[in-house]
Amino acid sequence: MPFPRRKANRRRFAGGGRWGAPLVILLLSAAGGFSLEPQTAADAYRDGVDAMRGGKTADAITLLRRAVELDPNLGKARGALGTLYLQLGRLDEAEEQLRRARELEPGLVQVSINLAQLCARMDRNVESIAIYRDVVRDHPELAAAHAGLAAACQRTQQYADAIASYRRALEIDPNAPESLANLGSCHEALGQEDRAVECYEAAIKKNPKLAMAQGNLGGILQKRGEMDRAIPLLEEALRLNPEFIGARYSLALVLIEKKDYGRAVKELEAVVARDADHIGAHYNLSRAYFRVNRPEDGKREMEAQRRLREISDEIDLRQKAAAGEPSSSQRQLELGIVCERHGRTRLAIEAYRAAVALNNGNAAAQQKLASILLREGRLRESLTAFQAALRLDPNQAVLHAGLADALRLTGNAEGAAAEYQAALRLDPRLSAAHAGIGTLFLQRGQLDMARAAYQKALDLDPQAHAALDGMARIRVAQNTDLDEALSLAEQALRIAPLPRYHETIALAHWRAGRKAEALAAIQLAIAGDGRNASFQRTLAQIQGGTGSGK
Amino acid sequence: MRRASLALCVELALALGSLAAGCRRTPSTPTSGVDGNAAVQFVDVAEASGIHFTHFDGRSGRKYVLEIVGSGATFFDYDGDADPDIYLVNGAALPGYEGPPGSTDRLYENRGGSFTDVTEKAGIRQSAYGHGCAAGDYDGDGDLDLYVTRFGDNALYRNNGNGTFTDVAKEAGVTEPNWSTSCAFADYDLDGDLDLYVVNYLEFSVAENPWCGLKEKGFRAYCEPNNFPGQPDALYRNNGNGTFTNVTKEAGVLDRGKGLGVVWGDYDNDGDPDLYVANDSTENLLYRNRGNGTFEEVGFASGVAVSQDGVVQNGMGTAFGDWNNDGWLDLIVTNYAKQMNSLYRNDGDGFFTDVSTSSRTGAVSYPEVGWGTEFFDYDNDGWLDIFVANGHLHDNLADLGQEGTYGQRNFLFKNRRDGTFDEISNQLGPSMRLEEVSRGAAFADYDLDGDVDILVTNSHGPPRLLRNDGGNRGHWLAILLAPANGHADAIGARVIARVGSAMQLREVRSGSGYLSQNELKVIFGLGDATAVDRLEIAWPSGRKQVLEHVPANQTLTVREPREGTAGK
Repeated sequence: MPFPRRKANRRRFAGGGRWGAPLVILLLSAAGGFSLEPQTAADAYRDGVDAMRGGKTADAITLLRRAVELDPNLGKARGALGTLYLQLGRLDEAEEQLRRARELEPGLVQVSINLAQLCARMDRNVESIAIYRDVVRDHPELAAAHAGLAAACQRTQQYADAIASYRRALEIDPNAPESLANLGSCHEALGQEDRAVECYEAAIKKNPKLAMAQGNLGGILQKRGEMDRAIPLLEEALRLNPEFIGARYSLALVLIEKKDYGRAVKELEAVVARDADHIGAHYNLSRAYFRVNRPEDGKREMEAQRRLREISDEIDLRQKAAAGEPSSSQRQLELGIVCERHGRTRLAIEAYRAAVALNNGNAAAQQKLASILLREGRLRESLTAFQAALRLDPNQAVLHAGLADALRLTGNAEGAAAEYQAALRLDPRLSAAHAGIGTLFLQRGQLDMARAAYQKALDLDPQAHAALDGMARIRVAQNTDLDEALSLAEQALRIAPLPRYHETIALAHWRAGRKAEALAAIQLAIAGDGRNASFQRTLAQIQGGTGSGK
Repeated sequence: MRRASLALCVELALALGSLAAGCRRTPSTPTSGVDGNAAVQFVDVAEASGIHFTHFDGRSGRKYVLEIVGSGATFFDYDGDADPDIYLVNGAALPGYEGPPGSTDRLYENRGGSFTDVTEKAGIRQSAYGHGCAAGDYDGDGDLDLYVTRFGDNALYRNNGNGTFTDVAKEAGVTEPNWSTSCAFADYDLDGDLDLYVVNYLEFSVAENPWCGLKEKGFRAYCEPNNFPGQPDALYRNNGNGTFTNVTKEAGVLDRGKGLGVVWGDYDNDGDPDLYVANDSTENLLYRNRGNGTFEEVGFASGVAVSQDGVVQNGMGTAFGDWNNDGWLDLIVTNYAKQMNSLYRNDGDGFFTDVSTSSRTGAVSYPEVGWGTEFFDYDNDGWLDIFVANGHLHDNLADLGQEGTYGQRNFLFKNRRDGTFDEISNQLGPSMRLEEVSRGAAFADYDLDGDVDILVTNSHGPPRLLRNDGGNRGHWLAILLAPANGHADAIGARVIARVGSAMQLREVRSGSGYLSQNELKVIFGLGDATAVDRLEIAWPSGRKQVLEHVPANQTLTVREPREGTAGK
C-alpha cells in the first residue's frame, strides 16, 4: 500500500539523438578557402564558419578563437564557438561562450536555443525551460523554440505544458514529424494511449524513418496484445536504430508471448548489454533462460534483477521521504547519498542540487555536489560548488584539495598549487593533496619532484590511486620499468576504475611496443570519457605509430 | 452410454429444500440462450435477508496500519443442512478510540435464503482484532470447523456438532503469535486430514505506531509496508489427533514476505496441492509441492512473482481458476493503485505467462486498489469470469496529494472466451455500481437457485450480499462431494465436467481471494447444455470416479465409493 512508483521511461525523444543536434547558424561564405591567420575578427569568424561547414573542426575552433581574441565582444563568434564546443561535448567551454554571446547579443536566437539545450544536457532543466520561455516570448513564430520548450518540459514530466508547446510548434510547422512523435510520447506518459497512437501513426506517415515513433507505437501494440501488428514496427525501429533499447525490449516481450524463447534471449541479452540496470530485461531474460532450460543462467539473472530491485527500492524509499518533506534539505541530501552510493549519478546530482537550493547553508550537500561534479568532469560547475562549500566551511582540507583538482583540470596550475598548499596547511597528512601536487610537477616535467610527492601520498595512503597512476606515468615518461608502470596503473584501476588510468595503461603498452594492447586500453579510456581531448590525442598517436618507445 | 443410475453410488439430492417462510428461492427453470449477461443483475439483499452487520475498524485517528487490512467472510454449511451459512469477521477498538463499542464477529445461519444471527447461541466470542477466516473439517468428525485469524491469538472454532463451537486453538497448537491475515486448509501431505497454512503480515506493534504522511502539512497517512519487516507465514501439519505441528521450516516454506492472500491449487496437475501466497511489496511466492512433505519455491522462475517488467507489486488477494478451459489452473493477483492486477495464464509446462494487459483485465484496474477476487461463472455460460473487490485505504487522498477515491467500484470481468475479458459491472445493476471500501469477497449459491451469489465485505461499513438474479438462465450443475471417510468436506478434490469436446475444471478449496472462503460446493455453468456428458472426480483419497450423462439444473451430492474406482 505505498505511494505509486514512477515507471522508468525507456522511450526516446525523436530527433536522431538523445539531445537533438544543436542548430547552427550558417552564414555562407562567398569564397571557398580560408587562412588560419586572418587579419580581422570578421574574417576569422567568416572563415571559422566556413571551416565548420566543411567539417574541419580543429581549424574552425582555431579560427573562431582567433576571432574572439581579436574582438572579445563579437557575440556571433562566441556563439558559433560555443555551438561547436556543444557539438563536441565540451560543455564547460560551450557554456562559457554561449552565455557571453547571449549577453553581448541577446538577439541571437540560436545562441539562446543552444544554451537552453546545453542546460538540458547538464540536467539544469529549470534554467533550460526559463531560457526557452524567453525565446518563445520574443519569437513566438519559431516552431523550433516551442519544440525545444516542449522537450524541456517533457524531461521534467510537465506533460501538460509539453503537450501545449508541441501543439503550438505543430501549428506553426505541421510537417514536423519529430514534434508529432514527441507529442505522442507525452500522451503515452499520461496514459492516453489512443492519442499517443494517433500521433505516432501521423509521425510515421510523414517520416517512416522515425525510429522512435515506430518503436513506441510497437511498444503500445505489444502491451495491448496486438503482437502481429507490433512486430514489424519494432523490427523497423531497430533497423533504423539498433541502439533503441525500448524497442528491443518490447520485441523481446513479443517473442516471449509467441514462445520464441531462443530469440527472446538474444534480444534481452542485447538489452542488458546496453543497459545493465534494466530491471525488466534482467527479469524477462531470467524467465527466458528458464524456458530454454538454462537454469544456471536464469538464476544468475534472477539474482541480478533482485539486486537491482533492492537498489531501486532503497532509492524509492528515499524519494518518498523527500516527497513527504519537500522543504527538507536533509532529506534531499540523504536521497543524494543513496543515489550516489548506487551509481545513480544524475539522480544524485539532482538531489544534491535540490538540497543546496533548499538550504545553501547545507555544507555537507555543497561538498557532495562539488565532489560529484568534479568526478563527472563538470569542472566549471564543480569550481562554483567548491567555492560555495568553502565559504561555508573554509577549514575543510578536502574541500581545498577538491577545488585544487578542479583548478588543475581547468588549466589553472597556479591556483591549484595554492589550494593544495592550503589543504596541506590544514591537514599535512592529506594524501590527495600530495598526489595533486605530484601531478602538477609531472605536468611541468619535474619528474623527481613529482615522484617525491607521489611517494609521500602513498606513504600516507597506499590506496591513493592517483598517486599510483602518477608513479606509473613517471615511468612511462622516462620510458623505464614499463612493466612496473603497467602494474601500478592496473592497481590504480582496480581501486578506482577511472578512464585516465586506462590511458596510462595504453601509454605503457604503447611504449613497450604492444600496439594492440595499447589500442584496446585507450578505447576503454574513450568509452569512459569520450570528450577527453587527451585520450583522443593518445589514440591518434598510437594509431599513427608516432613517438613510440620502440 | 450408461446412465448415472447403473451401479453407481449416487444420490440425487434435490436442490429445493424446505420452503420456509420468507424463502427467496426461485424455481430453477433455465431458459435457452447462452449470452444472458444483459439479463443478469446483482441485487444487494444483505439487510433484507437479515444480515445486520457493520464492520468496525477501530479507527481513532492514529492511523494504525491494522485498520486498512479489513476483514473477510466465509460461506460454510456449519449445520449440515445443505445451504451455506455465513461467518463475518470483525475488527475491534484500537487505542485512542473513544466511541461506542463496535460489533464483533457474527455467525449467520441460513434459513432458506434468509439469515439469523446465531453468534451467541453458537458460543463464539471474538477475542481480538479479526481479519480472515477459513472452514474445514480438521478433526474429521463430519462437521465444518472454522479458523479465524487475528492480530493477536488466532482462533480455531471446533464445531461441536450441536450448533455450538469451542475455541481450541491453544490446545491444537495453532494460536499463531504473528499478525495473521489470510488462511487456508488443505491436505498437503495427502494423509487424509486437513493441514493449515496461515499467512502473516508485518512486524507491527500498536504501542510503536510510527507517524507517516506529509509531516510538514500535518497530514497523517497509513504507513506503507516498507516501514516494517515482514513476518514468516506458518504451515501447520495436522497430527490427526486434534493437534497440529508447525512445520514451516522443514517443509521449506519459511519466508519473511508480507503476506495478505493465499490459495491452494494443483497448478502442475501432479495430484497434490501447491500453494500461492500474495505478498504486499515483496515477491509473491509459488510453492510447488514436491510430494514428500516439502515444497520448492518457484515463483520467480515460473513467472508469477512480480509484474511483467520485473517490478515487485503490492499483492493483496489471489485465486486459482481455469479461465480458458484448457485443464490448467490459471492465477490472478490483485494489486495496489497504479499497478495492474496480474492475470497469469498457466502454460501447462510449469510456467505462466503474464496476460494482464492482453486480457484487458489489467489496464482498467490500474487506478484502483484491488483486494478480494475470484473466478466464477456469473452467467452460467461455461466460462469463468472474474470478480474483483476494490477500495482504497487512504481516506484523505486529496490531502496527501494522491489521485483516486476512497470508495471504489468493484469489477466483474466477463470472459469473452478468446483470451480477453470485458469489464461489465456497470451493466449488472445499481448494487454493482456502488463505490465502497471493499475488501473480501466470498461466493456461494446461498439461495440454491442455481447461480452464484457474492458476499462482499466493506471496511468500516456493512457488507453486501449480492444476489445473482438471472444467472441461472444458463443451465447449471452443482456438485456436493461427500468423501468416504465421513469428513464434512472434500477439500482438495478435483472435478472436471465435459460436455462434448469442452471441459471445465474446478477444485474444492478452502480459503481463496482475500481473507475469505467460498462454499465448498462446486458449480458448473453449462450454457445451452442440458446435461454433463462426463463428470470426472479425483477424490483427495486418490480414488477416481466418473459419472456420465448427469442432467443439468440440480445439486447433486456425490458420495465417494468406498472401494475401487467407480466405473463408467
